[in-house]
Amino acid sequence: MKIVNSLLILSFLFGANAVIGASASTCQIKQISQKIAKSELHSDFIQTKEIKALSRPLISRGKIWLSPSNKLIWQVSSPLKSTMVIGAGEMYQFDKNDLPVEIPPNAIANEISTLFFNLLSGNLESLKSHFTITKQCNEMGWSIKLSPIKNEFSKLLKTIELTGQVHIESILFEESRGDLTKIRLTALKEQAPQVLEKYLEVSRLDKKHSKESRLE
Amino acid sequence: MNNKFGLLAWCVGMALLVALASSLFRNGVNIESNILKLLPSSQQDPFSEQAFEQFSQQSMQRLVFLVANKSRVKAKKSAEQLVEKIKSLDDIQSASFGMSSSEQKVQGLFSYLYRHRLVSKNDEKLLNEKKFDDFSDRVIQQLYSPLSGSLAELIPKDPFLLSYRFTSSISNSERNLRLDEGFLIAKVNDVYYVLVTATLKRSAFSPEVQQKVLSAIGEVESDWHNASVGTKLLRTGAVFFASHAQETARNEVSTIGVGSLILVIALVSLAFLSIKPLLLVTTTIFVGVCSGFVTVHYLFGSVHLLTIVFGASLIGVAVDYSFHYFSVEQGSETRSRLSKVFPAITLGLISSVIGYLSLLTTPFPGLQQMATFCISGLVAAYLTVVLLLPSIPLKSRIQGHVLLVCDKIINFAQSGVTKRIWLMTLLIPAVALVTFYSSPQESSDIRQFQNSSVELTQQQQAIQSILLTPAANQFYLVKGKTLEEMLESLENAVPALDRLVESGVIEGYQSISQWLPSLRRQQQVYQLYQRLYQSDALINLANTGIIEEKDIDKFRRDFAETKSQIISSENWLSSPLGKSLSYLWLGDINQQYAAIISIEGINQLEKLEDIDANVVFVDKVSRISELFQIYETRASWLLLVALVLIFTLLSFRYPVVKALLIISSPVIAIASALLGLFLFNIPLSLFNTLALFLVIGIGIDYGLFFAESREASANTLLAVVLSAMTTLFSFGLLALSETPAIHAFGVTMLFGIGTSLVLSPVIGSLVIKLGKHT
Repeated sequence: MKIVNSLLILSFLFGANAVIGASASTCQIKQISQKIAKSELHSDFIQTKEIKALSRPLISRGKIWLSPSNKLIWQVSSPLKSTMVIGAGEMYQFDKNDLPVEIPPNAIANEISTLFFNLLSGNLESLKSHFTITKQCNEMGWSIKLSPIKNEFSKLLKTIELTGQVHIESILFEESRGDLTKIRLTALKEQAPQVLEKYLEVSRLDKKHSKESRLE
Repeated sequence: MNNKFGLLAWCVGMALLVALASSLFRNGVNIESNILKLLPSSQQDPFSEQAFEQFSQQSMQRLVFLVANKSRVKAKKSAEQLVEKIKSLDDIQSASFGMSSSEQKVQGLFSYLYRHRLVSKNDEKLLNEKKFDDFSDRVIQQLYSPLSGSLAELIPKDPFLLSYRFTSSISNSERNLRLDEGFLIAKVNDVYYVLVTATLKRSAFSPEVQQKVLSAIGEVESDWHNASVGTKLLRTGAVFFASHAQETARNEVSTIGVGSLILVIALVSLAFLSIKPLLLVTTTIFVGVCSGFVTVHYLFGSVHLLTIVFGASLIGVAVDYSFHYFSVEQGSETRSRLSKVFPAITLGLISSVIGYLSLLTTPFPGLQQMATFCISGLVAAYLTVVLLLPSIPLKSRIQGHVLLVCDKIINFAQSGVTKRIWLMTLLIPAVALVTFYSSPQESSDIRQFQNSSVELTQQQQAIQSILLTPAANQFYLVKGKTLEEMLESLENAVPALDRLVESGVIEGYQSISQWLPSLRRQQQVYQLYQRLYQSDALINLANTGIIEEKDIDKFRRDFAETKSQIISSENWLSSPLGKSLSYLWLGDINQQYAAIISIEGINQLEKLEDIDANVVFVDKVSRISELFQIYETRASWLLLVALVLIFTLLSFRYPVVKALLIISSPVIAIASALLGLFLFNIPLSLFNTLALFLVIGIGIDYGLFFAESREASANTLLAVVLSAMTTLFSFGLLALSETPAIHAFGVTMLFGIGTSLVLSPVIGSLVIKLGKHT
């Protein structure tokens, strides 16, 4: 795996990818990754969750922002305001009053938030060790399907599907027990959302806070 | 008493000893190595003593490992291998990494069944402040987040996810540890540590158990090493410390025993160059050591390893009497030989026994054993000399050149300088007094008996820096006349404990009360949740589509139905978490219910005290230290009493001036021993105070031997030199011990006996001169 990776890097460095046919090069995971990663992501979203145990689907709306400091902010505005800040290996949550919510330490939750972060930031290469990735390209755009290799994800997830033209436009999670989560990114924006910036600050402060209130 | 009668008496005694020893070996010899067995049990408080016994028994059977690897997958894999390996041992009760998925399910079911009886502190506050929205908000947030996992399935039964809320509030309090696929994992500095715990079926002090556990772990480690998986293992547990202690003690016994024996043989060969004295001296030693061992085993039911270490020094003392016997001038008949040394060695025995008796007066079983061992051994050695030796004809000659050297020393001692030397040595006590009052005092404690390996201690500290591990010797003992009263006592202690954590006195604590509330509290919690179900919180859930509005009444009815779900102690104890925390449950002791609150990470020990009449702080270490302190003071006074007592005895036999001269030798020896301790930077403790008794008891012998011989002869000096050298050597070897108590004892003896030896010709010739004048 490591050798393959470094070969890929080598071929990239020496421009060897030009040798590969032009038609193939338009539908490479690396290229898609680059497309996703190229610009700062800031968008509205609509999420629909179909949960087997519940009779009605749960629909929520909010904003998503991938900050230049490499933090993903996921803010639900309806039906109830709540905000998540996901960074490399860390996650913070804030309630409707923007007060930090204590998240029980859980390795799986950490993995999932990291997965989510990697998906939205276009860091698909890093997912290769956990998922088999297949892709499809057509005139409408691209789509990528990830299925977990037997590991901690496979107990939870069946597949993840990403589609888009340049940016990611929709994400579909199919959970192992049959629940479906569809996220559609709408209204991509160019400017950094002022309103979300403060959470980056708060999450830094929260590091101290969570240490103090460790014991319940 | 004639020779034949003596021989007969000795043979009868030997037959008895052999019979006792052989029955002992048939029934199995008990060698104890638990240091707690050296310590006194508290007569005043048998309840807390039994609680401590039970708690320490359980905590001593626990093994804790951290399996470390830079790769999480490899760390988990290695942890599995370790668990599999130790589980295969017969002596292992249980071994696990975190919680298996089936255990997690059972525990999940427990928190689900009793969700309306359990509440976290934070939630209790929210409910009391009527902040019911927090409960619905959290559910909404959880379910609307992109991946909510299996929690949604709980909604139809547990709309507020109370079981999840409670469990996660508990796991939030664990430092560093995360549950990951049933593994408890900590990540520190990019290394993953998987927690593995195991419990022994039998005592951690059984050498057989130690050997099996250690070799199994060794095999796993070498497998990892061979496969270069890069896994490292941190371990802690009584079994490792005990095994190390036993190994060191065994090595020390052989060093001291073999070392002393070799010296005795060398000295005897050098002085007599004959086989018979050699055989007789070794017989004396053998009889002495055997008798010591057998007596202790019969009186105490077992012999502690440290007693044997200490007892090995007996070799050097037990030979003294035979040395005196052999050193009498040539040509003496065996009978008159004995009569010449009889008064001296009898007085010598009495003074040594007085010395050892001081150890018997302490309430420490360990010291009592050591004293019994030595007294019994000395008496047996003495009897062998008095009864056996006269009946064996002896023609051996003392080597001429050895006597010549001794003669020269005696001549020097008899010259005019001796008085001046003696007067000068009187300065030593004065210097010692000043030094000692100006140097700081340190208290001795239980650790004086412990010879911990540096590596094991480091591993233990490494584990403690990653996990919060409960202190083994300090805890709160909680009691109540009934189970309910005890559980309420546990709950009453919580605010005080939280204050201790908040103020940083301790890092944390572990109590069963959060999982097993009293019935009264369970009732209160139920009523708190009743308010939640009656509030708008369910409506909030219906408004966001998580539940149906028509189901609200059904949820309220469901809640009412759980009124019969009450947590009993049996429910809790049989749950997986209850089992893993079973060491906190003592149950029924003397018609009282008892439990333990373990303390993690004590930062300020001095601030811990009883919380109330039912929640008492137990600290074995400081209680023992206090006892040590008390006995040290008492021992210092007894030392004076012993000196006075011996002086009185001497005054009966000798004129006062002569008695004063004889007693001056141990006084100077004590002073120089104290200076020696100061020089080696060893704090004065109970153990070296007790050693001073032996400095008196043994050191006085040398003066006595001179006083009893009519003139300062080379033969007397030879006897003194021989016995002092062997004593010096045996105790000197004790100074090499890794056990601080024994080390301190050895150093004290080294200086004390050394001084007595040097002083003996000086004081001896002064004593003899005095005898001539009167």
